[in-house]
Amino acid sequence: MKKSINILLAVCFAFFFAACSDDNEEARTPEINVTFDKTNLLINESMELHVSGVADQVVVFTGDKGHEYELRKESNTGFPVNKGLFTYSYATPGTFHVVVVASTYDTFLGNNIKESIKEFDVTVIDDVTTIDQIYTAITPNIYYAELVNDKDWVLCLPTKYLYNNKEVKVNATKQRLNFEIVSDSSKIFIDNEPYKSNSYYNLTVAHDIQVLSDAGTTRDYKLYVPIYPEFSSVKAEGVTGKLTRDAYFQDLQTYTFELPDGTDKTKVKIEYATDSDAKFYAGGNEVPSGSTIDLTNENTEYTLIRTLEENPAVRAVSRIVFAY
Amino acid sequence: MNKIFGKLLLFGFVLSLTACDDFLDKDVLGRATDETYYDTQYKMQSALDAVYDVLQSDSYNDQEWRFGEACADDVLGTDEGLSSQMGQLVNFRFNTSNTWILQRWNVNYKGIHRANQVIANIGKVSISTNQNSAYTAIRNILGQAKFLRAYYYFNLVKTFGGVPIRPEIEDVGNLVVPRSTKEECYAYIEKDLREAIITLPAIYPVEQLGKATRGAAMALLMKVLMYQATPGVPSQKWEEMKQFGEYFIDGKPMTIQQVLKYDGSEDWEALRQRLWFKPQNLLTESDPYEKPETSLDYISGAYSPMVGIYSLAYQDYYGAPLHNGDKYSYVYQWYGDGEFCRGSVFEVVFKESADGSSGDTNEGAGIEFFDVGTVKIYCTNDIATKLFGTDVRRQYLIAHQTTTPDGEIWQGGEGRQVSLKWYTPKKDKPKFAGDNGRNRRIIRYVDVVLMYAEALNECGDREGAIKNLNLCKAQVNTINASTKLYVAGGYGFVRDQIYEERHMELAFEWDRFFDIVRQGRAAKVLHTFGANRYNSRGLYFRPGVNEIFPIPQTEIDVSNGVVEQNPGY
Repeated sequence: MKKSINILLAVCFAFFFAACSDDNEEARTPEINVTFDKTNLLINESMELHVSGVADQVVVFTGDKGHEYELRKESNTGFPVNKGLFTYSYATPGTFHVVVVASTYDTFLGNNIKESIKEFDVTVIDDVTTIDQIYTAITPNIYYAELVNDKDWVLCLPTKYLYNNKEVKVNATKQRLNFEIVSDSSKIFIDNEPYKSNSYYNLTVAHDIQVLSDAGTTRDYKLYVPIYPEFSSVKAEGVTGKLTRDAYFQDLQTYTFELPDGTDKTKVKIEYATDSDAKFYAGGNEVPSGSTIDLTNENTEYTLIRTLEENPAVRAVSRIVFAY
Repeated sequence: MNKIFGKLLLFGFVLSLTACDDFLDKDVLGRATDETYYDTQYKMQSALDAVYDVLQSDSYNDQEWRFGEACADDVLGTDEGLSSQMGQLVNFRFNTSNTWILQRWNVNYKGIHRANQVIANIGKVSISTNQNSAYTAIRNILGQAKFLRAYYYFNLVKTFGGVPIRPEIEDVGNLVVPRSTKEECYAYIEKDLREAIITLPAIYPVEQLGKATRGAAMALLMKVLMYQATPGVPSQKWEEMKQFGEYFIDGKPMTIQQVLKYDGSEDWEALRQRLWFKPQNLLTESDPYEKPETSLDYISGAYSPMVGIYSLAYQDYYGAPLHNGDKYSYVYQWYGDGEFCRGSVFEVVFKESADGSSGDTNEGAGIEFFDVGTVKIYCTNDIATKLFGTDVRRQYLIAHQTTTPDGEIWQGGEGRQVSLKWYTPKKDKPKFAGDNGRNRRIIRYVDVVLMYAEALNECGDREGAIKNLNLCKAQVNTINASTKLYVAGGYGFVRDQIYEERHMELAFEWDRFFDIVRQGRAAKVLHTFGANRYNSRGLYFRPGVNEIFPIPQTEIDVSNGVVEQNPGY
């Protein structure tokens, strides 16, 4: 028995020496190959990296803010690659230094790391010159411009609007403008001056607008701000019409005539003068002052149209309703 | 000895040839398979319960608030650092392997898979009676499954854009399904919801409350249409929304043909039978026969038109004022007293797994936001001022060391505020096994009215839009006897007032992020928000890219690229 215990002890003793044998395997040398589909990108355009080879972990430092390899010890991080494919896009223009770090470990979990690094530069350009929307907010309403061709924006304004049952005059000489453009890097110039969101602009005149992209491309636009035309005076059978504005539609004007009893409303002589060179149309046909119209025909659409002489694409159309 | 050994070897060899006889392939008696299980209404109901079950799970609700609320501008989070997956998500600094993005993908597909089980197998049900009510019961199950499948797909499409539409019957040999386009997905969702509308009743008997109704399907369809339309751009989707609003809110009649957009391409009787309307050849004199021109309110199973069911008033299911009609009646819409209240269109209930004994006290309602020390998202005074201004609804935020309506002191941290919509009153907290947690309101009637108002404005009826908008505001005014209402104006002004009211009324209901995205102003809102934050959260939102999230990288990898990534990721 004693002999057996001694043998066991001897075996244990031998194991004691053997237990700490150097099982640790040195980290393999990582060998990776990185291919990418493009190094010249537009903003928000996807870049594809394909990683192959031998590594325990692959991390991509994309080189933009928060992901710079040089600042990895100052809380900048890389993105781990799951399998062989990594996709990414950049939010800002510039040249970015992409670093792909492949690591392998020994069996002591990181005590002995071997790294292999592949690096290259990516150039991202921002070339947006398209304006998506132009508008001005004149409390309480928002007036949107319409792009009538590749170049001309038309922003129609009323002379007055109805708010809480009160008529309020629009001061077109001093209003702010708002531009919606998808890129933060593009610059806008109005009449060759840099646009400022808190500056006031005189909207009674047309403005030249230029967009300069970060990549240096420019695009020219023109902003026209015609006023919705109105009758400066309008009479039906000699009775003066009274204008009522619509709180919901700033292009809609209702003129009410208190016609005497017995008036034939199917043949009403209409006499008018407009506040400008606008023309009056009934169902698309011009109606000169002094013509006869049928007030009872509800299907007829009456409009006052002002067209800019030097650019016929620029029009302001007021919808007219006659009440009696 | 060798001879015996040789015989044994030979015997073993023979046995080895016979071991794989097909006696192992025989079905175990008494054990249901997916081929034999779905044969009764009750088994289909149990399969349907499993579809609902996903909605009350932590994994579902967890990603609902992370995306719908934490990514937006009404809350701050306790986990906004870029070192965590959550921090990367809410900062829009994630990559395609983000954990939460994968979870949102997985949990919704889990729901879809379960709904597909019901829809694919509903034809296997056999009924032993010719009663019309038996057909109605099966039809209602089918309708609920279609509603839920549409709901899960909608979650995916508004998060990822077009996604793979899984076949109803999965084939293990063909598991990789490419993405459908966003338009194809929306068409699929719309079809489900339109069929759900005509297969679901307007209301259930009191013991069945919680099941998806026609109102739920129609409200969701209105939302799906709204997400497809663009503000400021005339569209058939706005027109259809308006039509559903006229039925839902104004009580105007609507036919089955209008709901389904039935064009005769599918045989009418085949369609009826597919949706479990009683076959024409089995009808008795007392049974209804639904035609395309039949009014929606006369479908068997409907008990009353919509206008009699829902209300903006803060009333319980029976029409009694909540919390005696005092100022807390508003917030009691979210509590136990307000379950299935007149303002609730769809909420999550089912208590099977919301088991108080498990330690998870309130599945489906997110109590963790409210608990001391565990609050994950919270509001601040600055945000509340920006959100509510002087509106009375601001008082339903509760600050550090103040008391809840039922007297609990909340200590969530200095400077933090949380919504009482997230609170569970003491008397509603589950205590014992079998108690159910507080329901989460998913669609509310006020949302439907505001959607209707928005559709009217987009269709040019600004006066109607303001009228419906003010219905909502007038109800809020009952809290503090305010007379402030929204006022008439042009398109943009009316639209912005609707947005403002949506923001205040639906605040903290986990929908804000998706709402500003579909309004087309997520970048503007989040950039403004991020510019005032020390960590710039929101400033990195990239217009044209971050409106949708990336397809989880694992899906790209396992499909070997068949499932394609979204642009910009």
